[in-house]
Amino acid sequence: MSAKTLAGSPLRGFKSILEGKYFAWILLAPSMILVVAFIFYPLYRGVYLSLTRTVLLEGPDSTFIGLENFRQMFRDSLFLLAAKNTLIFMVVGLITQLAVGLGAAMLLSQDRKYIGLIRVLVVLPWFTPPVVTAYMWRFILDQNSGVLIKMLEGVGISFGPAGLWSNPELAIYAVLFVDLWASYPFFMLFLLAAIQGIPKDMRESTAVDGANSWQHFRYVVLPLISPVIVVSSILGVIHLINSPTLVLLMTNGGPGDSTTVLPLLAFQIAFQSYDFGYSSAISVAVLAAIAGFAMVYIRFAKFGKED
Amino acid sequence: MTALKKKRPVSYHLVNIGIGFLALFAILPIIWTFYTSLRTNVDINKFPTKFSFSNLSFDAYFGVWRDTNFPMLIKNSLIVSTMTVIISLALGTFAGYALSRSKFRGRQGVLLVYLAIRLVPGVLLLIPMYLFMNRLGLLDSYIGLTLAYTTFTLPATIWLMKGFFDSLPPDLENAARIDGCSRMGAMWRISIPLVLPGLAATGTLTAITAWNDVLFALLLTSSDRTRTWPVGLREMIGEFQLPWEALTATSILSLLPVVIGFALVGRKMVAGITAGSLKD
Repeated sequence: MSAKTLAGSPLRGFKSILEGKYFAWILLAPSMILVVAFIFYPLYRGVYLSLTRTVLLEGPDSTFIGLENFRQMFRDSLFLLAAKNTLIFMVVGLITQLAVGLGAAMLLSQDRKYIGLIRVLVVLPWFTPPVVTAYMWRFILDQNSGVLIKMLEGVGISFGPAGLWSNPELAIYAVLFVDLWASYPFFMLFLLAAIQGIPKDMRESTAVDGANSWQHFRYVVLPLISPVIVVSSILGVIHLINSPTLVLLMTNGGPGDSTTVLPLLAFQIAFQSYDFGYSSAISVAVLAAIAGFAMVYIRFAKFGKED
Repeated sequence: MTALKKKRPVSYHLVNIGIGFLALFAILPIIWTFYTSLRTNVDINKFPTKFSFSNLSFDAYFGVWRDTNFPMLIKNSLIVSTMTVIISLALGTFAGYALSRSKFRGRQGVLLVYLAIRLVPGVLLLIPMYLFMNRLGLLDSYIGLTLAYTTFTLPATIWLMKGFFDSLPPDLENAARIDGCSRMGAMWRISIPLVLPGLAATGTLTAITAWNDVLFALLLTSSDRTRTWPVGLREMIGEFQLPWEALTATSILSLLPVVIGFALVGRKMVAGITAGSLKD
């Protein structure tokens, strides 16, 4: 039935659109408009801004300067330091969160009483507001009244007279520890879903063949969940270096610039010195780094599977 | 009596210890924060810590509620989170339904785009979003912040709702259609009531995302009129050097809605994190 035969009244025409092949697109349209307006358009503007000189204090105009912002990065020692910190953050963060997440997923995939409840409980840190996470751990790790610091001192581990947060070598690892608490459940959920997707009788058959638990894990479980490890790692890394929230709240880059990571630097340049062009360029560099990491990682993961 | 019980291997108990450790790692910091919020500042700074349950009070809670603008901040956050949930659920349900029920051309492409949006770094969007909102005159307004949160939560909402609709048997709707129900009517009267639990979980996930955010709230709000609690709390700590018991009390207060939502629909909600990423 075409619209023509029903074109008698405007209401009928509208109804026929709803019933017809555009039904899906009508339902999709509102969300698509929002996504285009508030994600794709800003994304495009962000990339454009990175090619301009736009300093809000000098006025609202932007001048096209090509790749000059990107050239400036390599002369900027703070950028290079932040890049190094970001690399540490990414590598250490990914390895620890993935390792703990995998271990937790193995443990929580076992059948136990109340395991469903515990699985949910363990994910609570992921949903805890970052502001609460940040201040709670600042308190627990506070030099003067932090319970964990006092306990560590009790067993002979101390972080010097100025404390953990004033130690430029250690502060970044303190943030990484807090991020581990908050973020490993993300990996755990992915890997738990993958492990639960493996048929239960698989273990019985490998046991008949004489495989011990480790061999079962290494040659059966690990290959089966490796695609999920890849996916969760990419999403995890994006989460790790995408959001400067925890660093911003816990150290704001300090002591010195020892915990300044690239997204935080971009944030500070944008909203403290209002250099929108250079800040956007740093964000584009982060995006490129994520894309590069994802491609190398996928290639590497595929390579590992072939042999 | 124990003869009936199978003897457990050592590994069984090791797993139990591991699970117990995970649970404690997750909640001990929160419990400690709650305990601290009930203590007096003198006790908090006394070492070694003496655990006692005398001298505990909710004074710090009354203090922050009475003497700071925390209630105002909470009100702003509640308004923005509620508006985000309503818009995001309305749009996400329609889109999720379309992607689940109609096999139109371009469907795979749309699904892929909504998945790929997760890869976009938020930091890159901050500046253009700020400029755009400025031009629309939406800076420092509830609606500006709501639009930003709605957009970020939409992809997850859509994927989740699609999943919930996928899991319904299609026969129900077919029967309604044969009985003369329109497509809209079939969606509205048959399918949506059946996905209400899923809708609740998705809504809670969305609410928590909006409730927790710091970065966008930091940029898009500038006055007490619209400022949400994470931004306000950050400022209060900077300005007044909040004593620990007040700081921990505000932390627990702002964590409370998250915990309640979590307790109600947590199990379904965690599915939202992996939605769309494990299949295809």
